[in-house]
Parts: sequence; C-alpha cells; structure tokens
Amino acid sequence: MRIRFVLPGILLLVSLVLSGCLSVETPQGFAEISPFPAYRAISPEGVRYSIRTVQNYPPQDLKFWGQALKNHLQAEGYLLIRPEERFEAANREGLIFEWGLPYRNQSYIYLTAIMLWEKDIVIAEAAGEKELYARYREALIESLRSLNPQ
Amino acid sequence: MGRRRHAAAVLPALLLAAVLTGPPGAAAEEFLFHSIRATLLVADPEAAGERLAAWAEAVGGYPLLTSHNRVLLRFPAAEIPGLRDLLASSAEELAEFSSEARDLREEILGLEAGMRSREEILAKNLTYLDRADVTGTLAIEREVMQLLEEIEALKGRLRRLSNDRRLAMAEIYLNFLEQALPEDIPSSFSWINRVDFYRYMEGDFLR
Repeated sequence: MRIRFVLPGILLLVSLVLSGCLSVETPQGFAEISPFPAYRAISPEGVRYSIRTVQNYPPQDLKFWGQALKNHLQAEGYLLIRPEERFEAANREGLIFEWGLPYRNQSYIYLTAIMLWEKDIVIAEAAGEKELYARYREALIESLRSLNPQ
Repeated sequence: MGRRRHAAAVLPALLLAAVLTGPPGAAAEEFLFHSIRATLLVADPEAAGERLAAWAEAVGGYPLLTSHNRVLLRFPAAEIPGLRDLLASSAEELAEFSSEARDLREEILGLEAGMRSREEILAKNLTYLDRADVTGTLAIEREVMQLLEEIEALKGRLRRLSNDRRLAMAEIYLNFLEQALPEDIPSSFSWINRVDFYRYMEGDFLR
C-alpha cells in the first residue's frame, strides 16, 4: 500500500532530477573528477576545467550577463587576450572570454564561458599555464559545444 | 627666333621627363613603397601575432615571419588605415607606430635603363658571333654569359621593386604587457563574485 504511493513519488523525483541535468563531453586528454551538477575535469599537466550552474537571477539575457561579467573582470584588472567568442551548444548560444593573468611567475590563461539554460546560467571555467592552455584550447571549446540537457 | 628654337629643343626633353617621372598624385602613389613599424603591448603576444597574420591573409597579403615577439607582414598599401585600426583595437597599448614611404621611380627607371643597354650590347655581340674565329667566339661567349647574368640580376631586382610597389611591409614587435595583479572589487551579482581566477586556482576548483 505504502509502495503504491512512494514509488510514483520516487519516479517523479528521479525524472525531475534528470530533467534538470546537463551533460558534457570531457575534453580530449582530460580526466573527469566529478560529474554534474559540479562538473570538474583536469589534464595530466594540471589544466583545470569545470562547469556549474547558478540561478538566472535577476532574469536577464546572455548579452546582459556577458557584459556584466566582462565589465567586472576588466574593472578588476583582468586582460582580455582576444575578442569574446560565441559558441553554440544544443541550439543555444554561449559566450567565451579568455583572460591573461600572472600567476606564480608565469602567464596563465583563464577561460570563462556562459550560456543560459532554462532558468539557469551555465558557467564554465578553465585555467592553465599559457602554453598548456593553448595545447588544450580546441578540446575545451569542443567540450563546451557538447553541452546538452539530458 | 633663337629663343623659339631653344624652346622647341627644350620642350620634348621636358615632355620626356614628365613621362618618365609621371604626374604627381595617383600615378606617383603607385611608385611608393610604404613601410610600417609598430610596437604593441599585449596580454598574449602569440595570439596577437596569429591575429595579425590572419588579417594580412584576409586582405590579400601574407605573413613573411611570425615569431613569439615579432611579425613581418606584406599587405596592400590601401589597407594601412585598416592595419592601424586593428593594432589599436588588439593592443593594450600601441607604444609606437611610424610609417614611411619611399619613391621607387628613380630606382626602377635606372634598372630598366640598365637592362635595355645590356640587351642592346647582347644583341650586338650575338651578331659578331658569325664573323668571329674560335678565340673571338670564346670571348664573345664569355661576355654573353656575363651579360645574361647581369640581366637576370636586374630582372630580379625589378621584380622585387614591383612587389614593393604592390605591397606595403609592416614590422610589428609584440611585447608582453607586464600586468599588475587584479584587485578584488565586489560585484552586485553574487555569482560574478565567484568567477575569480585566483580563487579558482587556489581552492574553488578542488572543493
């Protein structure tokens, strides 16, 4: 009797959890450390890559959030190393910003990418020493293009 | 009467000079070799170099050299304003930009005249061949070879100058901008406050 009430509830919960999930292909050469909702992967040399989501609040479009992020990081002193780039994943548009920063006497590149997905903002970050980052850049962008709601 | 005769003698010479030197303006512009020298301070010299090389190819030119801190480009002279805009937009600071133009007319005319005179001597030498004995033939042959070499060298220099007329050259030095550590400025949007490279490298990623 109890099972008859509990089972549909569990199924509903599972379907709600699954419908709210994203999937992404791990960049070539990276190892996945943890799955969604806090996806993280790392290369053998230590190039980091992660994806998380936050609520799109106050509700705004991609252009607004892109501008807000860019303005904030530039005001802090981050240097945009190339013009922002657009990417497409699951018929949604996203924005990629790549920043140059000094870290432990080396030059690092920090990638920040955002896209809107339902009521959330998907935030991807990646960082690595400049040469290493350049080696994995294509793989990282390919991975961003593979973002997909499950 | 004497003055009129003098004018009649001088006029063709002036006309010839005008034809050789060409009128000022558009025609003169065609004989100019433009060269640009610039120094940029950029966050990523390599990426900036790649962008400049891609730009040169897109406007019908080509990169002669791209290294981690220097780029040499050949590109149509009409694109100089475009290059300046590109440099200004892709650099954190445009530390130096200088351009100069060299008139190639005198050099081109000199080379063409040199070629013509050598071709004439060559033609004459070839007519002597029929009448020459063995020693004479060998001497003429040596001179013909020498003339052919000189004509080829002059042709090569003319080709280079004609390329210089068509394409400007830019030598661009790319220096890494010594960057200060970013400051921590709070944003009105809480999620943006968590987008922070140093937090990411020293904690956030591993949690």
